[in-house]
Amino acid sequence: MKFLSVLGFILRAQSQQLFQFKNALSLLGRALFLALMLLYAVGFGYALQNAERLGFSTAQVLTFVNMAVIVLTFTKSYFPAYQTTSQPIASFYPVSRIRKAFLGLLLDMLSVFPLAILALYVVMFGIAFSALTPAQMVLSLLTFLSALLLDRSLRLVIEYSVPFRWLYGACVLVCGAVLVGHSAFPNTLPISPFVLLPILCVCASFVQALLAWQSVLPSTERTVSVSSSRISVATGTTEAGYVLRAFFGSKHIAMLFGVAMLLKMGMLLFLYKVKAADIAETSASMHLNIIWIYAAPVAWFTYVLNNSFGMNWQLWQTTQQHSLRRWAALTLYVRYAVLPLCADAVLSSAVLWYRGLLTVNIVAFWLWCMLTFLALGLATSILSPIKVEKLTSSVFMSLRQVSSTVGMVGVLVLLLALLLMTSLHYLLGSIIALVAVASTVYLFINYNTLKYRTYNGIHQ
Amino acid sequence: MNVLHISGITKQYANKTVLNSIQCVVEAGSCFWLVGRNGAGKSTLINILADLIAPDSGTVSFGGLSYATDELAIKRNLGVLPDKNPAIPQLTGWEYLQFVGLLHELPPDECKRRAESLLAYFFDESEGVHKRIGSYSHGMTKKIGLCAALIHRPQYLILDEPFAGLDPVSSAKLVQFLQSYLTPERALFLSSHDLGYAQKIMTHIGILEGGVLQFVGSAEDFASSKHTIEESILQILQPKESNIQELNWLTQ
Repeated sequence: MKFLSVLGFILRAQSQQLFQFKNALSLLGRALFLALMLLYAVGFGYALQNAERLGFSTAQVLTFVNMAVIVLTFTKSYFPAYQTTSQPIASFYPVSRIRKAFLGLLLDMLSVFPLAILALYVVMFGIAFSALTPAQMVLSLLTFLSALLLDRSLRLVIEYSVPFRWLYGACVLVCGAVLVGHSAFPNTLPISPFVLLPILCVCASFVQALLAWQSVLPSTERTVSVSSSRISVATGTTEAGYVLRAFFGSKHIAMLFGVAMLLKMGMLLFLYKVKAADIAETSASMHLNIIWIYAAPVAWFTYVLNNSFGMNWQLWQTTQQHSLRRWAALTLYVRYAVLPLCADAVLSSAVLWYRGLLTVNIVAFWLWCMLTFLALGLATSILSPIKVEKLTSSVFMSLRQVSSTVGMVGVLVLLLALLLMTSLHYLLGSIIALVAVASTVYLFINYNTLKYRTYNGIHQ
Repeated sequence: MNVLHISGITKQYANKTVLNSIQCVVEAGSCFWLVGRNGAGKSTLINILADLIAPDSGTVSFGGLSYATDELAIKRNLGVLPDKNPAIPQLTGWEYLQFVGLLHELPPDECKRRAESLLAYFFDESEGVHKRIGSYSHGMTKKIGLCAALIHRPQYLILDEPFAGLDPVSSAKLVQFLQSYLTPERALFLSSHDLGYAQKIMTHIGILEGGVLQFVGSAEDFASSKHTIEESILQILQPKESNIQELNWLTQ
C-alpha cells in the first residue's frame, strides 16, 4: 500500500476541513475559535516575555500554560459538541493491523484541536523566543504530546473491551497523574524534567501503541460506537435511581462531572491548607484578588452541571413523558440541579469562613453566578428538544457544533462582567442574574410559541 | 464450486450462545439470503465473516483461503457493508471513496472514475454527496457505505441490511445492480428483513433461529406450491400466538 499517499490524503482532507463552512453560524464558530486561540497565544506570549514585570518567573507562566493545555486536552473529549469516539479503520480493509492502528491514531490526532494547540505554542514561542530556552520549548511540546496520547488511550480504554482493561486504565491514570502533578508542581518529584518527561512520553506512546493494536483486533469488541454521551439505563427503578443511573450511566458525563468536582475540591483544599497571610501574599504577588481562585471553579462547576443536565433534557422529559408537563420536568430538573449547588455552597462557605474570606462580595458573587448560570443552563435545556426532535436542519446542526465554543466564550464574558460589577458594588451583579432569570422564564412560558415560530421560519 | 465455506462457527456473549456451530457453504454465482428474528445473531455472523469480530470457535474460508493464513488476500476481494457503517463523518462522500480506494491501492485516476460512476448510479444530483458524511441522512450514509464496499470490484460481497433506510427508488436500483453483479465467479451474502427485495435476488436461503441454522438450501427447495416464502419462513420460525384482543384499548 502506498502508505505515504494515505497520510497525504488525511492531511489534505484535514486542511480542507479547516476552510469548509456550511453557513454563517459555522463560519462564526470557526472565526470565534481562531480568534480565541490567537488571543490566548498572543496573551501568553506577552506574559512570558514580560513575566518579571508581572511579578512571576518565565517558568511559572509556562507552567500555567502547560497546565491549561493538559486540562483542556483531557476534558475536551467530554464536551457534548466534541467528537467523542475514536475513528478506527474497519478491519475488513486489506491493510495490515499495524498500519490500521497507526492510521486510526493519525485520523484522531490530525483533528482541529491538536493543530490549534500546536499553532498556539508556535505563536507563543515566536513572541517569547528570547525569554525561553530551547529546552523549555521542547519540554512543553513533549508535555502536550504525552497528554494527547494519554487522552486517546483513556478513550480507547472506555470504548473497547481490551484484555487487561483495568490495568491499561490504571497505567493511563498513573501516567496522567504524574504528568499533571509534575506540570502543576515542577519541584515536587526529585527527578529532573529532562528525564521524567521523555520517560512519560515513551510510556504514553507505549501504552497508546498497545491499545491501538488491541483495538483493531477482531477479538476486541467495541463497547461504544456512537457518542458516549448517550443515555443507557435500565428502567424499572425508582425516580431518583433512574435519574442518578441515567446521569452517571453515561461515562463521558460522569468523567466531565468528576473533573469539575476534582478541580473544585482542589481549590477548596488549597484554600483550607494555605494560611490567611499566605493567601494575602499570594493575592498581592499575583496582582489578582483571591476571588479569582474562588470564582473560576464556581463558574466551571455550574457550567459543567448545566451542560450535563442540558444533555439529559430528554431524560427529564422521559421521566415525565406520560404527562408531558413542562412544569413537572422543570421541577425535576431544578430539584436535581439545585441539590448539588446547595451542597457546593455549604462546603465552599465553610472553607471560606474558616479562612476568614467569607465577605459579602464573595457570597453575592457566588449567588449571582449560580442564578445566572443555572438560568442559562435551563434555557439551553429548554432549547435542546428543538435539536433532538429529528430536526436536522443545517442551522441547528451548526449551532450544535459551535455551541461549545460559544458557550465557553459566553461563560467567560458573563463571568468577567459579574466579577467587574460585583467588585464595584455587591448588588450590581444582580442585574445580570435578573436578566438571565427573566429571559429564561419568558422562554419557558412561551416555549411552544417560540418553537412553532422557529420551525415555521426554518421550513419557510 | 463453493467459494464461501463456514464451518462450525460458535459465538457466545456473557454465557449466552448467539451462534451454535454454524455450518454452510455459498456457491459461486449465488446469493445467500440470511433471515431470522431480531437478535437471532445475523449481524454477529456477518461481522465474523467480515473479520470484524472473532468467533469463539470455527473457521471461515473464501475460495479456499482462511483469515488465519491469507487475511490480506481475502480482504482484497471482499466488499462489506456492515450494520454499523464505518464511514468517517468528517470526510465528504467523495473524499471517503478516495480514501477507501487508497486503502485498496487503486490508481487515483481509476478510483476517481469508479467513484464518479458509483455516485452517479446510487445518488441523485439533489442529494449533495459533496457534503460531509456526518450531515448525511440515514439512507445516504447507507448508500455511501455501499459505494465504498463496491469501489474495488470485490469478488465476494457481504451486505447487512442493505435495504434498511433506502427509499423505494434507491432500493429498486440496488436490486437491479445486485442482479447484474452476480456473475458465475462472484458470491453475495445478504442479510435482510425486506422479503420483497431479497426474494428478487436470492438463490439460496438460510434461516437462523436460536443460534442454529434451521434451514439451509436453494430457493427452489424452500419454495413450495402450497406456501409463499413468507409463510414458509413463519412456519420455521414458529412465532408465539399473539392475541390482538389484548390491544383492544388501542384498536377500538
